[in-house]
Amino acid sequence: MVSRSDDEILELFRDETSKEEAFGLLLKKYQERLYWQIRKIVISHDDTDDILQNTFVKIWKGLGNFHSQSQLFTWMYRIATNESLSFLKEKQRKNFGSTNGEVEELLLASLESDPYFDGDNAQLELQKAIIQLPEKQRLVFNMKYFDEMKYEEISGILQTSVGALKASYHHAVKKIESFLISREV
Amino acid sequence: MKKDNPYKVPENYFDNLGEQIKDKIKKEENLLESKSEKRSLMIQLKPYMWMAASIFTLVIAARLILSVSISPEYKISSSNFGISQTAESTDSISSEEDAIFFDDLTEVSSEDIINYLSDNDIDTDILLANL
Repeated sequence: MVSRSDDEILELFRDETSKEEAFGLLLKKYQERLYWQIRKIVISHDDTDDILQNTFVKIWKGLGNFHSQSQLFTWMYRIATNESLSFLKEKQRKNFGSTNGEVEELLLASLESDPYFDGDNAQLELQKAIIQLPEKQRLVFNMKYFDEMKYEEISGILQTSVGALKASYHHAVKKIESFLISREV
Repeated sequence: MKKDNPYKVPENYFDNLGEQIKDKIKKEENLLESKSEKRSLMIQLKPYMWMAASIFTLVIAARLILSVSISPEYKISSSNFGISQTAESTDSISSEEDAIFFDDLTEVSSEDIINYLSDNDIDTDILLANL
């Protein structure tokens, strides 16, 4: 099946008779990409599953009002990222009584208990190094390093200037390197 | 550093995901629909609720007026016919309590009653059954 362009899907979605078909196409096209965006932020598969479903419910509700000032995928990534960060804040509040608690602690616990982590020791250490990064640096590092996204794309999603993103990525790499050296991996 | 993704997903996870999400959306929409049906029913019922509240207020007001006008006569007649002191004082207390109770109720306006009925999630099926 030939993949439809985002504009074609939007066109179909605006027509009440093809709305569900369009949403099905959108799901097929983006479910995996959005899944991995969320998974790298919250680590646990089960949490990712919940957040992804909520993300698509929001996409369904908001797509009718979407106007293409930004690209569709940028808009959907932004929803997925915001949902994931809100989820982490809520988890912090539940565990520590405020959002000042260490999110790193929660993510490490998720990493260690996640039955769907299949990496070797070096990969585990790399993930631990990523988890200890500040939120923005962690987001940028994952999107740049693993997803190989362009800074311009990341800029649209995180609504941060390309210059600031480059600086964040640079700091993230340095911190990860020193973390791994200190752990002698 | 290895660039491979170390995270995995359950088998066939992405095959079933689309259907699960569509089901979730349908459930949410059905819930919204039933809520808006309930709300529109409440709007339809509003005139009846006004009527019921007005009648209720009238009945309370009438009972209050009657209790105020009857009580003095009753007290006089009871003393005339030599009813015991205990019985007389009991009647007098009960009549005072009634007056306080009805006073409180008459302070509740019809609008308050309507608002109370609208704000509280009263089962419209029960309301309809009792119309």
